[in-house]
Amino acid sequence: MKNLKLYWLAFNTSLQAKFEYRVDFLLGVLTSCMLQLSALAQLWIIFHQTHGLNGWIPDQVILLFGMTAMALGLSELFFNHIWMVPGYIVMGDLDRLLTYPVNSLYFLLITKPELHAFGNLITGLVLTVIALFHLNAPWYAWVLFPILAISGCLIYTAALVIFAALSFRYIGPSSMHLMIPHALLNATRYPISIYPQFMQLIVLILVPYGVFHYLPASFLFGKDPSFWMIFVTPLAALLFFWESGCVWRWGLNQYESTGS
Amino acid sequence: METALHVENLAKSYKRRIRKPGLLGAFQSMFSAKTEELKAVKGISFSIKRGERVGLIGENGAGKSTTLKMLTGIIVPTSGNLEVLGVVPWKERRKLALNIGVVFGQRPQLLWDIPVQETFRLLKAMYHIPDEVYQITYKEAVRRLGLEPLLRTPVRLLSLGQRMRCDLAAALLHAPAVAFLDEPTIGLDLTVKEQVREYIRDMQKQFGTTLLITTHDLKDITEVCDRLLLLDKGTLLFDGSLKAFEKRFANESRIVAELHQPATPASIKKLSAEIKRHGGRVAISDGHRLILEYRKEGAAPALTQILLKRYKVADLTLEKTDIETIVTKIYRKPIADKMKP
Amino acid sequence: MRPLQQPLSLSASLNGYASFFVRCMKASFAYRATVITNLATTAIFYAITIMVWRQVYSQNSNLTISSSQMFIYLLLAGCGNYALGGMVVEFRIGNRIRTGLIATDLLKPVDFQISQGIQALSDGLFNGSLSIVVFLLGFCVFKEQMFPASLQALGLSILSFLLGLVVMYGIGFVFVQGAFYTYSGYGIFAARNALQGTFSGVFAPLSFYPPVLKTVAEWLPYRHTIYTPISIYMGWAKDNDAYSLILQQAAWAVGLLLLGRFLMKYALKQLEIQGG
Repeated sequence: MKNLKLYWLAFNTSLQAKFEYRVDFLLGVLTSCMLQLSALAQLWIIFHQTHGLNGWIPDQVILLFGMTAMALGLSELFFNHIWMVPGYIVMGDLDRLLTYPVNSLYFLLITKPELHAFGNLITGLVLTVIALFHLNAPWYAWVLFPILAISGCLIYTAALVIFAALSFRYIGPSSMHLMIPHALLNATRYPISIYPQFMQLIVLILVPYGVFHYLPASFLFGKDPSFWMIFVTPLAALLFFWESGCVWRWGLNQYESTGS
Repeated sequence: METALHVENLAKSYKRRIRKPGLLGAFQSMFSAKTEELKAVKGISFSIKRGERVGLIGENGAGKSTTLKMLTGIIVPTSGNLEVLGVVPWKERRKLALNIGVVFGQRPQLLWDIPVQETFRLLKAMYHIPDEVYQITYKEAVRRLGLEPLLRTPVRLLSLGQRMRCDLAAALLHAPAVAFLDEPTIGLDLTVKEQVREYIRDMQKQFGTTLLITTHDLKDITEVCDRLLLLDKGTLLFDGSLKAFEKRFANESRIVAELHQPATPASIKKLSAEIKRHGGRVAISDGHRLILEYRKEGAAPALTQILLKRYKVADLTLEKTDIETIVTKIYRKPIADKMKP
Repeated sequence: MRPLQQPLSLSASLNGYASFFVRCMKASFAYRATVITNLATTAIFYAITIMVWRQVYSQNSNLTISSSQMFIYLLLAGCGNYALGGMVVEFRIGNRIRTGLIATDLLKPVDFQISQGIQALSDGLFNGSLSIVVFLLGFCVFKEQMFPASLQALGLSILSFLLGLVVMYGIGFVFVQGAFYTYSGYGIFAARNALQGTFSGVFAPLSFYPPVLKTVAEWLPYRHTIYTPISIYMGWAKDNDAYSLILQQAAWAVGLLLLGRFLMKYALKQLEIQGG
């Protein structure tokens, strides 16, 4: 695809532009670290009251936390533009995008990298590394976790795209409904086994978040002997991402600008 | 390809949710779903050849933007046939996009934080513009539109006028076969408007671009276009050359005279009678000013002679009704009368 | 010539503010999609909290607060948080600062902080009215355990809740001053959100906190938005403790509002000097 070159150029250019805002960058990194710390504080409170969560010891849960943060960070770094889509739809600002000879979704996604992503990304990386270290993880875990983090990023972004596409039909004045897939991602910080059946189905199958950290971690810690889980993830990620593209196309078809 | 655009019975209607007034009504609207239909475009047909320069005018709500969006593939028509450069816009949007340039008037840019120069470079990659072409269009745009001082500024920080100029340059950067310009001179100073119109004219000549310009400023049309489409409430009221438009709708021309001494009522009466016989009438007699109006073509010399014979005239001006006055008058008429000259 | 408009009398002003309040409520109804989203996200966060604690209680039976008390607490916290979440101070005011529209607001003959506060209050109460439904449902689940510790506790906790809304507004107003200095709205909101999530007690009562965290929480105003009203309702804070807490809330409310006003005056002055 010769368009890949274009996307890379678009991303680079946008990123460069973002670095101009130094104060915002630092502030963003700081606040996203704060959010991660806030989540860790919750974990601290829980483990002050009990020893594990359904057999998951603190370090293992921290691994889940770290992977979640990395997936979040990667998505924010590359694909954050999606958050502006509901606003664009309401104001009819997607027109400009539709006059370009590019795939509307892909081009849109990479043209507004969000620098506070580095806060999430670095925090996540640190947590994951610490956790893997404490747990004496085998060599292949170290090789795998970047791939899994990328998969997680794709899955999360895909979920955001699907929800954003809903704006085409059910218009609201704010981008707040993208908070739903965001909230669901946060749910996967904790081992999914503590959730009731229907909830597990939601975060494993409907919006396959659990696939990139929970399932592989389960296998890693001997909680579940299915080796195949590890290979499912990248495939699931790509499949889900493709699916979101379809929903996006559906949404575009629904798109009715207000003419004047 | 000879034909740039071909439109047949194009129509577009929208469904809007009906909102009820009052607090209770607002609560009810949350749960109800009654809709009403809005007909934005009611079946228009026209054809534009390659290289033509066409102006599209109409009041707000006439359906100009909707038509433009259908032509560029942004929205799907409710009914009718539509082809631009041999392609159905909404079916093959990306293929068409490579060969068209669009300026969207007051709409904000998608890429806000990027400096102008970087945007151009991005567009070069996006439209696969060959170096030879880019050299020409880029240089011309920067020089003619005064973009040099703006190149390193992020789009977000530009004023409306500056953004418009950049937008225009961006639209014509890849020397497209068809350029859709929606309000290209809005927010610009008079001198800059001139620059812009010259730029558009010259680019058009150089690359044979087909132009479709939507505007409220009729000078854009008189200076750049040679054909006019008038849209009103979703229907096409007029499609033809500017000259034909003037001929059809220009009704009255005027002779404005400044007299040395105010005209007496008695003399005006006599003047009126004679003027009437030559196809004119006395419109205003106010002290030193005297204005005659006439419809008949070629009546000017005779009427002027009569005036000069009867009065000592200090100054004399002949006014032909211009397109702007015509259009304003048309907008003011009720629908049934709009087509009458 | 028409005589000049004189400043309104107090009753006329109050009337004006009241009708403004009603208009805000109307506007809230207009956007049904947002309501659904807010409900959904709150529901998800709430569900996560419940399930995590349920797991904890199933593993450990020695906790200082009984499980039914805990889940009642969490229900109330969820309701309260939902009401607080409706106030979206950072977005509303932050947007006006970032777009410069605040200039027109300041030209109006109404106090900016107060009118925004009324807007926020109406949003909070709008969300709160939906919370009440959930609150009443709580009675079906928890039956008589759901009752407040006493009638006095009920009255005080309502007062405390309202004060909590004011404290929340005060906090938000202070934070949003950051919008004068940075372009990113996300940063301010996220920072405040992080602190609120950790120290308000929405995830767990402060008595469950590890000592370090608890001490920090007691010095911050966040606990007064959730933990204080609920501990009064549940009777954990009685009589003198309850009154003292309410006084603390009031003090924080007033202090934060004053701080906010001061910061804004300072920020605006800076803008004038710099010709912003």
